[in-house]
This record gives sequence, structure tokens and C-alpha cells, in this order.
Amino acid sequence: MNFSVEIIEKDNAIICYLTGRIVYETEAMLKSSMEKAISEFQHRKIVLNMKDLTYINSSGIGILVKILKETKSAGKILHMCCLQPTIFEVFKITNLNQIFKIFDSEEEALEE
Amino acid sequence: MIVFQNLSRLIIPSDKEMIDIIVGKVVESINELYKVVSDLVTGEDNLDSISSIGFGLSLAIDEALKNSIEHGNLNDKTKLIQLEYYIDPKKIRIKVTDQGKGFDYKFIESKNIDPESESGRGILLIKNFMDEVSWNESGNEITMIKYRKPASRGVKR
Repeated sequence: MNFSVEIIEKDNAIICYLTGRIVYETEAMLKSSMEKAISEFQHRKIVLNMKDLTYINSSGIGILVKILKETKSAGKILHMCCLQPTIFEVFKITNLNQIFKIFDSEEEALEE
Repeated sequence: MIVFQNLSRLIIPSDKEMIDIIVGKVVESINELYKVVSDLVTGEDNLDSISSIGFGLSLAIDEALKNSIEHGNLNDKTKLIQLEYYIDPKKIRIKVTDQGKGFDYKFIESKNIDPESESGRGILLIKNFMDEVSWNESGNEITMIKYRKPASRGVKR
């Protein structure tokens, strides 16, 4: 399937690289990878690097919102970075830039 | 003067697993048709290219199909969805019809979306990426229109 999540540890955080398209067929994979990232790693900060995420729809957004809530209830923080312009537009339209912390670069997301 | 109009109609089952492939093929087909349009009618292509509107177009069709399957046909795979796309040099018109009882689009339109909600953003996205959005009286058919505008040369929107 045209989607993958790669997780690496860096400094005090884990970085999840979302690559490809979040569509109906790949939603389950996003959910399970992120639940794993939240529960299996001790790191308090999770950064979603979306530089290679090319598509997301309203269902995918719903999942990201759910992941944000799960992160918070696990006492962790979730940052996002490197959104492609079209993806950023989707976030802006749906007011997600109000609830997600979005950074231009991975470095800034790690620092903040 | 050459007139170009193309109307295509697909009848598909209410299966969410089909959405992505259908959306991909329809946008590809619209793209192909526009190559013909630009060769025959508009000459030098001075209108928005499909690649610049492709993301929003895909998203709008995706959301409309998903709504019809989920809220119209209630995920009943024996019920059908009709997807119609019409193009001429100036516009793309997409119509999605389901076999459901129709939904209360007036209510949806007036609803404010809580940023923390896990659903309810489909219509909002459609309205932002398309130029005109309307429903039939019973609410089981959505019509979405995207006009092709003169290409903005090097000017950021």
C-alpha cells in the first residue's frame, strides 16, 4: 500500500515520518503505528514529520485529532512539521492549526 | 469555433475500498480530456492546469463519495452511487447521487465544527476547494463545480 510510517529516536523525542497517502485503505495502518509509537516509546515528545505526506482527507484528519488526544492523555506532546502546501491548506481550512503545533522544520519542532 | 463537451457517468457499489481508485481514475480522465481541450479549443493553454487544481478536485470527489456511502447508502454494498463528471473548456462539474433518504445539508451548513471533533469536516473541505456546491431538494445528490481560471503566471495566490 502507498503509505508508510517510519519511526526513529532523536534527542529526547521520537520522529514519525509519514510517507505517501492517507486514504481509507491506509487509515488502519496510521492508527496502529501511532498507537504503537505512543505506548512503546518512553519519549515524552512525538514529532510527526509530514514532508512526504502527499494526501489526506477528512477521515485522516479525524484520526490525527484522535492521535493528538491519545498523546495528551498519555502525558505526552505531539508536534508536526514540514507540511506540504496543499496539506497545510487542508489543516488551515479545518482550523487544525489551532489545536496542532505546526513547525516549518524538524529542528524547530524538536527544540520547542 | 470548436465546442467541446464531455459527460461521463459511472455507477459504483457503496464500497469505501473503491473510493481511492475511482477518484484517481476520474481525475486522470479529466486531465486527459483537458489535454484534448487545450489542443483543440483553447490553443495555448492559458487556463489553470489540472495539476494545480488536482488535489482539491480529488479531495472533493473523495469526500462526496464517502458521504454518499456512509450517510446516504449507510454502507449498504448492494446500494449504488452514481458519479457523473462533465467538462467543457471553462468548468468541471461533478455530481454524486446515492440511493439514501437524503441528508439535511442545511443543518450541516449551519454547523460550526469543533477543531477537536473527529468527524464532520468533509463538506467544509468540499466548499473550500470547489467554486459552487449545491444539493437537490431531497438531499441525496450533490453538485460541485470548479471553474478554470486564467493561469496566474508566477503570482502566488
